[in-house]
Amino acid sequence: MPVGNDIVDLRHPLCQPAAIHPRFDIRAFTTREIGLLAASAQVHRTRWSLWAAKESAFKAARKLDPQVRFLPRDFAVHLSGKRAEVVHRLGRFRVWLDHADQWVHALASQAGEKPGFRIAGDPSASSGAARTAEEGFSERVRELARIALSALLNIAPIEVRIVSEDRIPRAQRRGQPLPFDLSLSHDGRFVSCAWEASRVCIPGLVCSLS
Amino acid sequence: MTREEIFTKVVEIVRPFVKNQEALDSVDENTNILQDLKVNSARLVDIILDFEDAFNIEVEDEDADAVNTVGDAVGLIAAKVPS
Repeated sequence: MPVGNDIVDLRHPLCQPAAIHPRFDIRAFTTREIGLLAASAQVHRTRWSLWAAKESAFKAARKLDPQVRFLPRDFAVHLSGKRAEVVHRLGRFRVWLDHADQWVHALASQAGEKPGFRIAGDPSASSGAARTAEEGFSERVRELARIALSALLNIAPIEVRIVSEDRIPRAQRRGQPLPFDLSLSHDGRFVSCAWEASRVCIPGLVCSLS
Repeated sequence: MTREEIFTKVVEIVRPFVKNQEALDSVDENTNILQDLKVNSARLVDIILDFEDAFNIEVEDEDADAVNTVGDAVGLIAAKVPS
């Protein structure tokens, strides 16, 4: 099952209410979602939870159909606490939302169980400084995925290689694909990776991936 | 507006959202906004809205999604504003 994830740094200067365009919500959200925002006691977090749910579902949907386009209002979010369902023409995606004071994270899958995920970052770094260092975050998120997957497989992190095929991350070992569907995200000071284990077992590797 | 004038204005609009400032230093019409300039997809929504305001145009969602490169943006805008 394809997995998608998205993390949003809630203190990133460019996602603050005063920084986003006044028509952002109208452009990004359905009428129903705008109603949710209007009723929310935590508008900032709800806004980015809705967005992260859409983006994570898009990342999963893109693996089902590489031609799918990210038209945010086409990914309709039905939010219910820390769970959501995203409805798109390609199907329905379950979304698990996690949040802390400084970030929200969404995990989308069509599977019944929550995919594995890891989040890392430096909450003490200033969000402005982190912005200028985001190039390094691309490598950091791959390192996070290497560590997480290698622990599941009981192998050294250096044995896991993360490559990109048509902007979709893939995990490999010795040039061979590893039995995971993978998604990576980074924003501001935070990076996150998510994975769904397939049932394919590779000889010589631990196959219990729960 | 000439294509060059639109290009210049597009780059100025995109500039505050760019994570990869080095790529911006050598920006041309082939520069990919998301992949090369590392603009976040949420910020691309803001950029499209800024295009609408700056050029007094309307950009449909489908057209916005087709904007991958700076040249795509320039072409989209050039088709909507008087030359």
